[in-house]
Amino acid sequence: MVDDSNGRSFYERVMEATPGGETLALCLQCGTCGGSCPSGPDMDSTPRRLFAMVSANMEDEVLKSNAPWFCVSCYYCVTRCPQEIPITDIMYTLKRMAVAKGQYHEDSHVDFSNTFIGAVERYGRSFELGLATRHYLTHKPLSMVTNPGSTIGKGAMALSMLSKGRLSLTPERINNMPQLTAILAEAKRIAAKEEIV
Amino acid sequence: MSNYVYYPGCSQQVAARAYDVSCRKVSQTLGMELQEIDDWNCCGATEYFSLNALPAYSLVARNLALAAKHDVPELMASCSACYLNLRKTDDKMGDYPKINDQVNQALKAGGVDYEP
Repeated sequence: MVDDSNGRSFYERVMEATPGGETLALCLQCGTCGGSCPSGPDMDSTPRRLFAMVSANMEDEVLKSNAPWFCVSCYYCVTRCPQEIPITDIMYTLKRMAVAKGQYHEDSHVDFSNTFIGAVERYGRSFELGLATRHYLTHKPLSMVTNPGSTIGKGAMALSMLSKGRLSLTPERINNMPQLTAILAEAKRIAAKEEIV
Repeated sequence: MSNYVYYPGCSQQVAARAYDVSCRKVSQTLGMELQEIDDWNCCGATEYFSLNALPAYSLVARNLALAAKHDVPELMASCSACYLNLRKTDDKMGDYPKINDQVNQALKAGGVDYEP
């Protein structure tokens, strides 16, 4: 258990970095969240167990957990939690903390987020073809050799989507990109200055 | 005839284009007039909130600020992920003065503001 320079425990920092996060102290460990979670079977710790680990200040173990990265933001746990804990938002907080400390369980999820946001910061819109190809080439470069069937299948699907106007070869760009760039730059400046997690 | 400001979202421009087409048709049948937000940007999906919270709120807040300029009280988003981000940003800005101040400070750099 390591406190930060202000003497705050991991548990306190997680609550502070999440709007409404103080409700984490009310967790009953009922397990409704984990039982409701569509990604539960893929998680090394369900939200219930993860929150017990947070309150035990097991920072390294929590930040290395795959659970926040498997959260699909469906908010089903949030609607069912009897204590109204913003579970999904806490998952976002844990992801940001893991990224800030470079302690995440593996890099493909973080890369995916960075590639997605890279297009948004450049064009103002997401760019599906660029995201898919770049992510695939970075993380599954040998898939054409190891799994040619899947690659051919994906190519056929892409061609079919292209023919129906459901895939764009070039990114769409918003008109007032300078305005968006200025807003995001200022938001990043404030976030860094105020040390917002 | 009721008017709505409409936020289609990135997916509905491409992969989920069919949803956008049917959404506009159904709205017409229901007597809803949709005004697409002028020059809307991506909502950040689940990705921006995973990396940096304040830019994530600010990205969404630009859309809310542009939507407010339409002078139509109701905003509609057909994509559930876009809806969540728009709703979440509006809620958090309304409930947490600190978030509201910081987001508006960022919006000011782009010459806009938003009152949740």
